[in-house]
Amino acid sequence: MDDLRARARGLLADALELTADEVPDDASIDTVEAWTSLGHMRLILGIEASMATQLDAALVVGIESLDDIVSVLKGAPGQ
Amino acid sequence: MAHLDRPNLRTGRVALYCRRRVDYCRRMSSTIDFGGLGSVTDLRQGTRWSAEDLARGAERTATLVRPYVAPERPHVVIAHGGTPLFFADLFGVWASGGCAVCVNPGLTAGEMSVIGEFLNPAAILTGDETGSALPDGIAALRTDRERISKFDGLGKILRSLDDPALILFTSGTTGAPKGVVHSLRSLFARIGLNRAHMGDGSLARSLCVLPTHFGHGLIGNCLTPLFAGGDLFLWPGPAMKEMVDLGATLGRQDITFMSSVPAFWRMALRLSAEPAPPCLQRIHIGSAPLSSALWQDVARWAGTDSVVNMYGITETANWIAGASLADGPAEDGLIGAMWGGCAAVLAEDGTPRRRGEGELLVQTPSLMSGYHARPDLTNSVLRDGWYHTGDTGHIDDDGRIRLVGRRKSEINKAGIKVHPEEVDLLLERHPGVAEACCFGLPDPVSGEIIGVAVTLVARRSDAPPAPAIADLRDWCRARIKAECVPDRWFVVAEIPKSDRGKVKRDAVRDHCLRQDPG
Repeated sequence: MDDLRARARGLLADALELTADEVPDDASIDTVEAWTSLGHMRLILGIEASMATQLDAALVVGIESLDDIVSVLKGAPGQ
Repeated sequence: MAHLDRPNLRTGRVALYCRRRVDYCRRMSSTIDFGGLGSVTDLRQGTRWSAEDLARGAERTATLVRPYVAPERPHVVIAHGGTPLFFADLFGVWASGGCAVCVNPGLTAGEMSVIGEFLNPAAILTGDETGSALPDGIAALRTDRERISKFDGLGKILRSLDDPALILFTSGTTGAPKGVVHSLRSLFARIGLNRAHMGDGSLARSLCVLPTHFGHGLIGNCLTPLFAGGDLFLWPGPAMKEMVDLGATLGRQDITFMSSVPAFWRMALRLSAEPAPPCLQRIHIGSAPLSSALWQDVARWAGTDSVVNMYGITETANWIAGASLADGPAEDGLIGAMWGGCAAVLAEDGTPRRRGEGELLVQTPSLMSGYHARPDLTNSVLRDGWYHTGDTGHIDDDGRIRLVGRRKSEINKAGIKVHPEEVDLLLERHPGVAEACCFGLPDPVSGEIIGVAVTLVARRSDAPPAPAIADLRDWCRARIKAECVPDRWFVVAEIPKSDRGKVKRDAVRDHCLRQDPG
């Protein structure tokens, strides 16, 4: 789980051009200023490259926090 | 003035159309004719302003602004946008005899202060989107909330067609502002040419997702359909969740035309189903390079081949050339033939040539008057009767233009032009930064993002610690609008220079990427 969280944090940091230290545990689209719509699309491309799959539109807009990214990486969105 | 061939028949017809538009402007210069205007609807609020509503709103704004406007102090800053009120304010400023200065509502306090000192405006018009920080000593008016006991009527628009009517800032809001000045003559020449090339039919119902302080959004996407009598629907900067509904929104509102930037379409095609029912008759894409693959994908999604790759610059009142899939296959860099005026390339011997490759030069009736109070900048781009675009182009035997490169150093981030010199200078004001150099980095979503190399001031061992990147980023955010804050930071020991001591941004970028490929 810690590995998955670190991977999610790395993907988010890369997409938003932040360092991993700048991504708090409770990072969300509402609290991280750099999490813009363009940054979000970069995140989606990063997740897709990492999982070698394409996310559907509902999932693309459903990712709103670091926890959501961890869920997607686990393959069980929303759980 | 360097002379070229006589214009062809199509150009001649367009010129005749433009002369008619200028005659129309002359008639307008006594009163504003709102009878021919279309309506403006705010899609989020669900409010619709008819031509009569816009006229009443403009009259209200003119009444409020007129006491402040004087020939020696004509500028009125409009610090809001994307609403029907914005257009009432714009027309009201013109009706008051003033010059409208449309700025990004997200300017920082420091940037707004620079604009205030540069222009000494008569007033600032605010709206819901305006930031809280406004310069002291300048009247701030919220025109839809001020009390008015007696309306003045609309009165005269401007002292003459060639007086400054609109200023849009393209850079320099942290230091030396670069304000592009247009007159009503250049604006209506552009609107007339746009209508001649697009046809009013496709402008019946237009959607604008762009900011109204951009030439692309304001002149191309909004004023052109409005003055064609069309209905304009405003949906500025749709959020990610709203984008899911793009196709449904287009279908529900029966939208016939919209314009945007490539980054918008990269998101829209991922998130939204096709318009249902199919309604778009024409799509413009501009402000950033459009790949042939994305161009074709947009056409498939929209169900029309009238998808046009547009070329335009704020200095030319936006669109001046366009290439449509309806006229031929998609090609990277193809921007088609001029929409009025003519183009040339600057040959190596310094002469303009009608064909070949070189810096792209244009002549157009929609050219700016110049940069406000900056004759040095104006003279650097308006030379020998040509506007020097700073882009490298190739013009073929049919007059079609292809963009093949860029001479100017600006970074194009999702259609927003960022001048790296401006960000360098800002960063070098930070006490911990010795030198800074910004450059563009390729990005799959925005086209480009802003990279920056910084060297830090040498510190004594007992000095406070050097600033962290996060500190530098926050320091920038407080002083410059968000889109200009560098995305990727490289702290380097030295910024590489040529043997003449010049910084070459491409070389700095390559140096940084070798150190940290990301």
